[in-house]
Amino acid sequence: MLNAGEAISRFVRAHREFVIGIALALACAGFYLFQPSDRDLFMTIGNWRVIAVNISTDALMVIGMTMVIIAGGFDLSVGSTLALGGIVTCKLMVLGLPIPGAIVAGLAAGAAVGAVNGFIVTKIGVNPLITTLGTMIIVRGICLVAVQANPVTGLPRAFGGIGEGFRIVGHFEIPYSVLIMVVAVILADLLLRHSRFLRQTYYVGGNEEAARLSGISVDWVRSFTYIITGALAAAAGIINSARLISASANAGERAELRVISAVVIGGASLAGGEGTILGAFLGLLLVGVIENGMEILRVNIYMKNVMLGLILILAVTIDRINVEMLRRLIRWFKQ
Amino acid sequence: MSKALNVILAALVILLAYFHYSRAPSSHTTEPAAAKATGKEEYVLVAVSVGNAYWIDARDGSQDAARDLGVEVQFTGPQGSDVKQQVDSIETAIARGVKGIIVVPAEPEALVPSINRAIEAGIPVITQDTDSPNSRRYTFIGTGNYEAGLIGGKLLADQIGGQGEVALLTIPGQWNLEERCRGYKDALAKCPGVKVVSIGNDRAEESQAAAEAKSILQSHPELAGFGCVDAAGGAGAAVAVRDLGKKGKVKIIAMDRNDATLDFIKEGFIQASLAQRSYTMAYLGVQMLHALNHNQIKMVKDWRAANTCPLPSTVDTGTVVITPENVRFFYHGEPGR
Repeated sequence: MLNAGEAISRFVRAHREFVIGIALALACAGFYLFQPSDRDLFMTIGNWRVIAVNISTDALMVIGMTMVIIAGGFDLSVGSTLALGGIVTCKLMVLGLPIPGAIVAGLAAGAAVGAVNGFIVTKIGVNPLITTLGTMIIVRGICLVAVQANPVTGLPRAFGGIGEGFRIVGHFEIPYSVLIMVVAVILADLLLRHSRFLRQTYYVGGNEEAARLSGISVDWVRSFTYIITGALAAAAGIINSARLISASANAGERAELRVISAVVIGGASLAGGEGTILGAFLGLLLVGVIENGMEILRVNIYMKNVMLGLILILAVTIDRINVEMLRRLIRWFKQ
Repeated sequence: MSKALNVILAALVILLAYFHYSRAPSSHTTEPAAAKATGKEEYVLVAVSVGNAYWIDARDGSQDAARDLGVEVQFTGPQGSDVKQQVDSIETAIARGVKGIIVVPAEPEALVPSINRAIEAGIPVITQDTDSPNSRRYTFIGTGNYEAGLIGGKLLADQIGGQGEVALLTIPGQWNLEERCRGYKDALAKCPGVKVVSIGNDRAEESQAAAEAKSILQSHPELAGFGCVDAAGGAGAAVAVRDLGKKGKVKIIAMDRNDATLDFIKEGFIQASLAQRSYTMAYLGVQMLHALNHNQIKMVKDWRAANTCPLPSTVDTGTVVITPENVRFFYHGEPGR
């Protein structure tokens, strides 16, 4: 029994994606079996399309956040940067800039926020939590000042087409936002596993001093993760705006909490050095499926937060299961 | 490794069995199961800032209508005012195939595509509280936010005798509140003796509102009144006025009818509160959607085929002014509720 316990805890830690996959399958089976209507509402193409679109913008931020957290950082400013990306792009389009130019400018604005975060964290040495808490408030403020709480509207029709559009793959209409998400997640996951530069994030997060001594440019690697995250958050904001055909200073409210939860559920350690993008994405998918499923089960809206918080804690607790706990559990059962 | 897998699989089977059997017996009593048995029609009310006490009335209204009509209404929406999450809720509702949607747009323009998509899917949509006039929604039920602000501004000007400095408490960036502020300012601009000296952020929370009101009172000792455009402002301003001993010197016009606000009206700290008929809005909204689905309003034989809608294009539910004289009727949790 003891050996089995050890094996389980080792397996859980080494195959986080597999474990979340099981949790996902369980959640889906549960929602499918217990849905209140005779007609299947959960396992339909329409519903899964909704789930995919709902998580598509958060997924981009999850990619960046995973890298930041692996490199030992933290970024609270993603939600505000999302709003900034949307506002910069939309404002410039309204002023007459062509769509591609406006999108590039929006991405640049997001990357700039990331660069500021990176600079303050690495060169000045302020704690990432405090730094990004500050930029989160500042950037949200800048957004409000820029638009005076008035959503930016009157965007070119073609821009809205990006949010509404889809591509036919096989028999399915895949919305652009979902297509972007899938490509970005696969690409980023492969890069983080195989690219030499991005692999350095693990060393930096795992043991900063050792990484420094082995010649890794620690400050640059860490700054890079913030810059990528800023740009991806801005991209999320631009897609968001295309979907809504407007940009608002309130966009991305509480996004940071959803994104960080997903990354942690996906197996990243806030101590740094651990985590994968695939795991984080599955974590986000799990949260998205559970939110959707609770809607279908008509769970009271105020109850939803309780459930989502419980899932987060449960996911982290799984990591903590060790042999001693299992032994105690067995003893408790024997009594 | 295979041992470990076996253990995990066994655990899964036990878990599944547990969930299956623990849920099964109770399925006769839970609400969803009841719906399954009766096949009730389902409607959804997509609100905004769902944690706000403001929604008590709208929820009551929708639930009472649901009971009277024998349908089900689900209350949902984002915690904050992120309109993207409202769009998500509407898309989920469309995928679920609900019979009708009432939505309180956090921003009028951003909801146009998803409202239109619901209409195209044959699901009637009504806007409540805030309109989305460029969408294809069938009707808007509510108080014009701007008009509510105008009434509030007029009340405040009357209370302070058309003379003095006033401050507004709001949440900057929330569209409907900005509209109310605009109404307040326009009404107050008609009195040359009144000056808006400060606009405070109450962050939708009474303690924050109190802190903000106190600092405004410190920097403007001559302040004659507060105009509050959201539910948290009134009670917050009243706490500040009470703590600084300025009862009666500083007049307060509040918004909405949560019990804290009502208490302060009874005690004379708040001179009046503008309540919206949010109960009525939600009640009528559900009724109208139901009437559409069952073709009960026979303006034409088949309104869908005629490509027209028998509902009025807008319904103005107006405002109720709550004063010390009538405050006792507005408490929640009265018998019969």
